[in-house]
Amino acid sequence: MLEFRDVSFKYKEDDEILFKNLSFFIEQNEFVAIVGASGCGKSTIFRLINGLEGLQSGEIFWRGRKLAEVDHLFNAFMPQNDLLLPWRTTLKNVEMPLELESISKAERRRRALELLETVGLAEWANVLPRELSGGMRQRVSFARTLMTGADMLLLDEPFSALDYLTRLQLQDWLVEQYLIQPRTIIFVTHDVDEALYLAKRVLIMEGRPVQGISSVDVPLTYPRIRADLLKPELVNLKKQLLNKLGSSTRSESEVVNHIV
Amino acid sequence: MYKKMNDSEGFGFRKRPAGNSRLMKEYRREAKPNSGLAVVVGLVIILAWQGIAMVLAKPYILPTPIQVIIRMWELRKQLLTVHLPATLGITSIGLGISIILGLFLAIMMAEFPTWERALYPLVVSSQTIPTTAIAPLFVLWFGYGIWSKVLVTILMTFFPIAINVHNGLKGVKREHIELFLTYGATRWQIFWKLRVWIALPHFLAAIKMAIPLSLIGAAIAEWLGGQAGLGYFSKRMITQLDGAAVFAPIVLLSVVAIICVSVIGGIERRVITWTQDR
Repeated sequence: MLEFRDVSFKYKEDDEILFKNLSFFIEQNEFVAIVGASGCGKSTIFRLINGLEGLQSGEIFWRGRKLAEVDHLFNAFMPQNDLLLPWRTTLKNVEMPLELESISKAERRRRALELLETVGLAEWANVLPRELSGGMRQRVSFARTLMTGADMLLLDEPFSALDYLTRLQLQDWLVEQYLIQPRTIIFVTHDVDEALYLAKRVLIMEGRPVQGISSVDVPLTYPRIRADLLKPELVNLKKQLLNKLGSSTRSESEVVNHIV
Repeated sequence: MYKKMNDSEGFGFRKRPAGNSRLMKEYRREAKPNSGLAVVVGLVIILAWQGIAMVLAKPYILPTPIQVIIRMWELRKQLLTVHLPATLGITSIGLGISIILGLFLAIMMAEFPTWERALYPLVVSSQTIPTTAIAPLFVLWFGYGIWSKVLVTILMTFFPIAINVHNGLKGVKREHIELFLTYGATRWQIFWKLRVWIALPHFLAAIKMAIPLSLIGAAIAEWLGGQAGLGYFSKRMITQLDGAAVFAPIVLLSVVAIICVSVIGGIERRVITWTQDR
């Protein structure tokens, strides 16, 4: 569905190249997590997909066509901070993407209410964002992302600003949303546990600067429980991933202790 | 495990209304200007004024507050039907033009970098012109009609409006603009659905700042040359050595400014609901 072929990128203001020769493929309705150290260019991958940065070398394909030839609205981006508009109610925030497409008020209201229902926030429709908790705001932000009707969701560390318990709950919630209606989801995170718990497949950005990306299937089916992460094969997998991410400053035994 | 969750309390509780904690209340109480104390200090100053003026006993130089109030009452017809309307007329024309001009420049400077490079330094340096010194020039050029006075008012109020609104328009987060772009928003939509809303509180703050300035500007201009208005009235009363009558328009101007600013403050509280800490 989406393919990166030998994509390299460098920011003008940086001396060093950000990543080199990234190649990967994402299937339809696949839930993929991309992990990498902070500053390794995870978000830049999204910026390339949604057209905020121009392609420098290599090629990106969407359903077999070059990215430059497709309307970038095939994807919807959910930022790390909810970026809700503080002057708009929950409902009006969710309506936003359709409003920009000039869809009639009645229609967008109906669809926004429907979505708020699915994210479990219908009763908060007429409340300003400042009255919502961080977790609720992220759910509103997710509903807004869904509202675009895009075929692919790009979630950029959507839970990283939340407290630990809320993050765990929202992870379950996201999987649940995915199971209710499977979509293509790319989920960027620096949290290996999060990646393993959520995704069918994990892409790891290796090296610094990033020299390539490797893919690991998560040997779990949905639904999952937290204890799944403690299975020996998952613990091993996590160890591998951490090694690939370059947490090599620690000895291996320390890493294992840290995991268990 | 994966049953559909509908309880919004299940995770992410509703945020406690901000600022109701005990410490916050205490902090507020200490930080809030104590209006009771201000009234006492104000009364002390007025009493001192009354005392000094009574001892001095030269009402043509320093009338007592009571004399000022009595004189205001005696002159109420002239003040309220002739001079106040004249000043308010100039103020509103000047402020109106200032708002239109200030908004226009602020928007152009925020949207087009060329405009910003060309005009921003000029707008800022326009503020260094001493208005009181340049006002006589306007009278010289535009005569004793209303336009010389309107011009002084514009010069006083244009700057805070243009600069504040410009800052507001430029204060939009880059992430917000990018999010809008990923939704396929046009530049026009970004302006109306994003920039305008961020700039709105700045605009209202600028108006609150501009109202007293516009009254001062109008009064100065009337003082320099005019046939009506509170500034003119005050000047005429000086030549008649009528101290209390010189004070009357000053009191009136302050009252008008306070009323106008609090009206805008009320509008602000009603419109800008999203930034208020409760």
